[in-house]
Amino acid sequence: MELTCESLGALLPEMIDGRLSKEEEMGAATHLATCENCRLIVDETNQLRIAAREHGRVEMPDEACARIRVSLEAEQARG
Amino acid sequence: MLRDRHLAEDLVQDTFLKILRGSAPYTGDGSLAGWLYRIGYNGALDMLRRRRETPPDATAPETWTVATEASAESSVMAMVLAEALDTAIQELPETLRAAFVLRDVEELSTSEVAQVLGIGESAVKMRLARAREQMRVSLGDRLWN
Repeated sequence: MELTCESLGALLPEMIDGRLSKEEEMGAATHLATCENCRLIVDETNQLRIAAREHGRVEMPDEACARIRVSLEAEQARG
Repeated sequence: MLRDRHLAEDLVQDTFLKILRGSAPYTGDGSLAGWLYRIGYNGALDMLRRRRETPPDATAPETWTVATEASAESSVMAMVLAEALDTAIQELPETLRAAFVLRDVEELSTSEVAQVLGIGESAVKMRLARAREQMRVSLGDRLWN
């Protein structure tokens, strides 16, 4: 399976999610071995996914959690 | 999504109050996580609609801390990365931002994101691909290069 930059780009979402078929995986590997630009795009997109997973979340301040807890408990008490 | 921590806190509270009051019962369609996020997402859309009538408060700082478990040695890099991510996420158009955050930050499945956003899975994939590309280019300028 011969892939072009364009066809690899179309497969990128499935590739990043690890959902390529064996045939697609082989085609992608062959293309990436010779295309520096596509290799860069795949590497950066993988880094982005890892960064988003590890550093993308924010934590709510303790005082906000406490305020919300009080509000929910008051609602429950009202029935 | 709201780009305002006070509104985000209000949204969390409103979301759980709606659940507690049974005003948005789970019907069994889709996952529980998708249902929960759907209530929050709809609430966020309502808030955004209301907020569009008044300009955002540019002086309000975003003070939520980034959730990292980094050692002291790597915490500076983690903070730099988190800040850059946050900025790039804020720069995404609203529809792309929602798809990216739900899928790549909150790690919902594609079908759950579709459930939350009320769109088809192919539309989710399309939005996600566009969001990742914009994020990649944006972060590439700031971090990778």
